[in-house]
Amino acid sequence: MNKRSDFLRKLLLHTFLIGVTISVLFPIVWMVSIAIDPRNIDKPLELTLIPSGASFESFRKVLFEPNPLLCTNPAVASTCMTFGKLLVNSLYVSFGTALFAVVLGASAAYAFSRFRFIGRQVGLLGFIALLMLPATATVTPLYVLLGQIRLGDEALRSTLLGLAIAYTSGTLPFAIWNLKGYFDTIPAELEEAALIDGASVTQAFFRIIVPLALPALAVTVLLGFMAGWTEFVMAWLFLEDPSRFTLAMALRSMQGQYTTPWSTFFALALLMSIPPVLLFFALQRYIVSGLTVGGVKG
Amino acid sequence: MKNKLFSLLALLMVLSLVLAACAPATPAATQAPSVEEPAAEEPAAEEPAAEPVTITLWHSLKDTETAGLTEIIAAYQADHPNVEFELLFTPFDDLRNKFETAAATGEGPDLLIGGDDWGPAMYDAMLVADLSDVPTGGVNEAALSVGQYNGAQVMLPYVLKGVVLFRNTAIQPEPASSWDDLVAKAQAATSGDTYGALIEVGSFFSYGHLYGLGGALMNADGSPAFNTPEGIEWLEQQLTAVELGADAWYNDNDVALFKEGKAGWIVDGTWNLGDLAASLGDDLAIDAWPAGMSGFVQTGAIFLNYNAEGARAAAAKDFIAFLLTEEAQSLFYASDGAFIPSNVNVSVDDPLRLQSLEAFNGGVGWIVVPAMGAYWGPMETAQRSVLSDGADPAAALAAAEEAINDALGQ
Repeated sequence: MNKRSDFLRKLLLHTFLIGVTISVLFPIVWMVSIAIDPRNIDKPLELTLIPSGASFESFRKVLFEPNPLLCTNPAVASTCMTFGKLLVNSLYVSFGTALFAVVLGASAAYAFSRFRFIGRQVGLLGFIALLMLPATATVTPLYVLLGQIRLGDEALRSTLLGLAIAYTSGTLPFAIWNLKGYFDTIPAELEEAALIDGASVTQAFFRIIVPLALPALAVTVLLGFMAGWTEFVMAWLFLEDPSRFTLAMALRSMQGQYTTPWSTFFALALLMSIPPVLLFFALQRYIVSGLTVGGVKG
Repeated sequence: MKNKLFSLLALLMVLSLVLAACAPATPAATQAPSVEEPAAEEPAAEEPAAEPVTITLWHSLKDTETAGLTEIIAAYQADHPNVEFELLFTPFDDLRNKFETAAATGEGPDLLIGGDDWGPAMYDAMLVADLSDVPTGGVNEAALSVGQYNGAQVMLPYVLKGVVLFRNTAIQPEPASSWDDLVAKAQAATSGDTYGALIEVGSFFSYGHLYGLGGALMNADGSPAFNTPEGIEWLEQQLTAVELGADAWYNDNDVALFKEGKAGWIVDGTWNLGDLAASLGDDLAIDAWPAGMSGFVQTGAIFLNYNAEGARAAAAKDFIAFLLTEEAQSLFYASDGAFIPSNVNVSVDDPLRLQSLEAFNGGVGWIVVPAMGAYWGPMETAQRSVLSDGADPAAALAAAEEAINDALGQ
């Protein structure tokens, strides 16, 4: 009887897990299948795992051919964006966002965690209010604000730096809350010991807190990177020079008013997923604990 | 005490920064009007070079269309070497928001190529300028009328496009004379996995038939006009379309099957002309609308930014006028196989595009007034309730009319 119920329990569990696995893997299998479909069909209605005549032509096209829509001068092919140029821009924006988020987030979170000052509670609640706002609510204010700041003869808004700042404004509230929660779990006695030994507050922060908070910092970097890597709505609104466009914008540009070349679309989408995956693996040993510990005060 | 003092000082600093940021820009120092030296009256040896101007244009054209546009720009620049162009592609779904945000803050491009139904709302918001003074000789009058709103020409049509009835001549050798004739021929040709006709029932593609039956969607003032015997007939017509094989809304099963040679007739847009011609070759035809059917005729629209001023605005208007000429439209026509010129003087020799123009003659002008926004949801609810749930057509239309009146009242 026990063996039978144990078998049934395992059967149910495995059925459930297989179902979850299929639901997770299915979109990826679909994407790969369409990406290698040589027809580059505009309306995929059925799934054939390996379509007849399967090839990597879509990947070749995406990787090596200039994008005819994203050109400074459409009449001159050399002014059109290539995968390499788009990749560089995406990396710039994504790492910029991650850097701003981790530097500003860590310093602000440390202050909120360790110091007691007037407006501390209000400030923390203010960040919560920012988190609750829909992203679209902040787009126009950011557009106007960053448009007022000039870098030479152009608005900060239309530069990659401005875009990274705009993304940071969205990622910072969560970063501050997450990092503050993590800093709260680090005993203050460790810093006090360092201060007694002659360290300054800054030294204590960099030599005690930062090394101990690496998991939370890694999560902040990853989330900041992902925010910059995948976003395209704000990018299409802010940027006006094709030489500054990103991979996410290129992916969006493939979606036409009437038709979309799905094979090249999914080929680019799959290629776009590689850098975040690599970053995830690089930070993996920190991330698992960082995701779980930062949310609660120990 | 010390902490409070610091807090107060910090607060004052923040407030002063906020106030400084919110302050209006310092006006430029007033200058006394300069007194110009009276110019010596000398005969001009040669006409002075025109002032250099850069026109910015945002669009969402496909690469084949962009090629046509760049050819037109090159032809324009041959006569206007002082005018430079900066083109920016933006995906169609992002273009309107991008333009509206930019124009609302006093920025944005000089010219915008976008959807013709954007015009009235953008004109009301003072984002686009009146183009009544741009020469439009030879431009299709019906297309021009699409852009006329509140006494202004809020956009100008540079291309025609619209919903038409495509036919695979291998399955349906002869056109239908009426809806009933089409149904009979479709039923006769349906066998196995081949459909005699797959008539799209999605609202955008089916509203035209309401006009084809003698009805109308709305009155001139935007109020509902569909709750009539013709409206009921229209819903019953769609029930028949479902029986013929139309199985869903906007899923393009009909287009996919048509391209595979498994559908005799479909209703679709001329924007898919190139794809369909590539799939069917000589078997593709576009029919004049049979009695009881019709489709919306749209235009590709060019707008002038309300913020465009001075030489740039003048150059932008001059370019729009050139874009509408027979010369420019002929260039576009030769460059893009799906381009249907809005200038009636362009010589159209491509059979499919000629058939498109003939079909447009029986079409209905696309409704661009803002009130249209109140129709989509209630009308689709009415259609779905009848086609999917078997509701009574009269009751469904009455409910839609009430919902639309409520929305318009608000």
